[in-house]
Amino acid sequence: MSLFQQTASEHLRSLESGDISSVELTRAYLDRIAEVDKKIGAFLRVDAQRAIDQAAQIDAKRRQRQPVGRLAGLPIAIKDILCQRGERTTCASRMLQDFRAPYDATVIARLRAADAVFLGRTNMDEFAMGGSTENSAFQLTRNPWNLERAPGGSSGGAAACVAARMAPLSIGTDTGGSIRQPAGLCGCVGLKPTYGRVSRYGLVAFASSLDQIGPLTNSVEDAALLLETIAGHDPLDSTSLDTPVPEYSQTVNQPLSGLKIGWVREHFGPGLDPEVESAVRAALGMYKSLGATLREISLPHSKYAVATYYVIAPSEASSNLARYDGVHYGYRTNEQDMLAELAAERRRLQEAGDQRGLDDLDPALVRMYRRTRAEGFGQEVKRRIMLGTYALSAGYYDAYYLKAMKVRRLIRQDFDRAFEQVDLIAGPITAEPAFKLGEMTGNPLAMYLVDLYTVSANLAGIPGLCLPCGRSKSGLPIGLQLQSPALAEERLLRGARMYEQATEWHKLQAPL
Amino acid sequence: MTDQLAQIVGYVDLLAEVDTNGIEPMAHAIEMANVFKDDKAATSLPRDETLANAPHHDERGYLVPAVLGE
Repeated sequence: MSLFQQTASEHLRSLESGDISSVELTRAYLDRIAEVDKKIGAFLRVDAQRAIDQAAQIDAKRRQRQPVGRLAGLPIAIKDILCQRGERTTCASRMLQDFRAPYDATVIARLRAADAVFLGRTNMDEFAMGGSTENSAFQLTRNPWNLERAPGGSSGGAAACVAARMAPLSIGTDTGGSIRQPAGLCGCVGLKPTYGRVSRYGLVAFASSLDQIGPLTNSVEDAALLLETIAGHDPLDSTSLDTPVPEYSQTVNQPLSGLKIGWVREHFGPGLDPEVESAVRAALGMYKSLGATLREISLPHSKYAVATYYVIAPSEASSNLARYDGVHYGYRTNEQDMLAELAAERRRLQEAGDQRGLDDLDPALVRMYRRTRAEGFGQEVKRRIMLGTYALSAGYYDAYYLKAMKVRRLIRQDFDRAFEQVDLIAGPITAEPAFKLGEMTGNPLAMYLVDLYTVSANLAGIPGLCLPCGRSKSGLPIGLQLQSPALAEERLLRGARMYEQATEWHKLQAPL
Repeated sequence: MTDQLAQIVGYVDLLAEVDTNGIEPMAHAIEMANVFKDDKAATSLPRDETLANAPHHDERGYLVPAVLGE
């Protein structure tokens, strides 16, 4: 079997038995990146020499029979939004183009302690805002299954690199679907854990009450392995949950008996592509044949989820992104040009005798902020900052932000009621398979509506997992989303693995 | 941009039709209150490392365009 048909868990067994060294494995993936990423554009930066050096150190530890970490010798790709000491951490933004993190995010520290090998940093929508990775300030990422199509986003690079077998493991982040949606469009496994399950310390903030870090992999078993490595309480993130982390990889292969699966009436409404619908219904049928009971349920407020999300997420973003001021770190506008521009404006106003204009003219510091932010942020980031500041402004706060926070509770209550009847909820991850690059760029609202099935999990704080469940006639992956109650990741992973073991979708490889 | 924003604001106006009487706003997915930690001094990043990312700085602090005395 080719190396690239193996999962990370299989690689780990080969590393442990000595059938392969970490240097060999890492070099194989680096070669694959060199060969394939020209077509895909998943990575923003790859540090081959550092990866090989790190792999050699782990091989030496193993040879000397020193204790090694849980992922010892496995290569991993990191979304360019997690701080890694000494590394550039750009969030695919001009604003942070040259920012070098002075410390490790907790997830990075845990991966380091687990002896994972860092391959490089993956592309994303700027500051994780978007669903196609087209909002990256630096490059496009293409879907490995069809190079004319988007990989999804915002963790598009993270999903494309595992789907194209350029990395066996990948870290993404999910604020409204940014792990699960690209996993669905690229045909891999993506898991957004319960809010608070994984520490956000060192994750560059987008919407702090929604952001979570999670795995993208080529099997459910690998997702279990990666989640148990990164999860757990962290005193540096006061929202991280102080509850024990189960050994997900030890139980993931145990099927669930008496499983009750809910399918949501509202998820099968108009707009759902017939091919997606039939693949998802076939997956439900597969669960039935595996002994699960199916039950139709309702999440009556699901039609408000996108609107709720696009009030709350931009509001939090507008506040979080206020830190990019051109002073403490990141981009600053060219100061000489800025001062010359101001001087010219002042002269013009003086010549015109416009005292009002002179009174209103920006002080130099304010003009510096304005130009820095105008030049440093892309269109989508600006759009969301404006939406957020609008929703939070006096006079509109009650109608938008406060209202959205109340609807958020109703959405959560829908899930609480549903999970009194069922163990897991299964449904589509997106209404359609991967869309064409450029297809949505002029229509942000249409792009937002792609998040229909994913944003509720973030609003409710519950975990969601996407795994492949079919192919469209044109050969594009179709994803199945499973959701569980908060902190029931063990059940979620076991339920997903049952389906995976009974099907072959996860073994299909993109034709590259 | 203005048209796009108007379209989005028009869409989120959908929330107005939801009856939220008596519903408490939910600010966080997992509601916790008063997470304390011990009041212990710990080391912070050294000043030079903190300043290293600043677009304009000297050895002691951040530099910005003149604020006073223009």
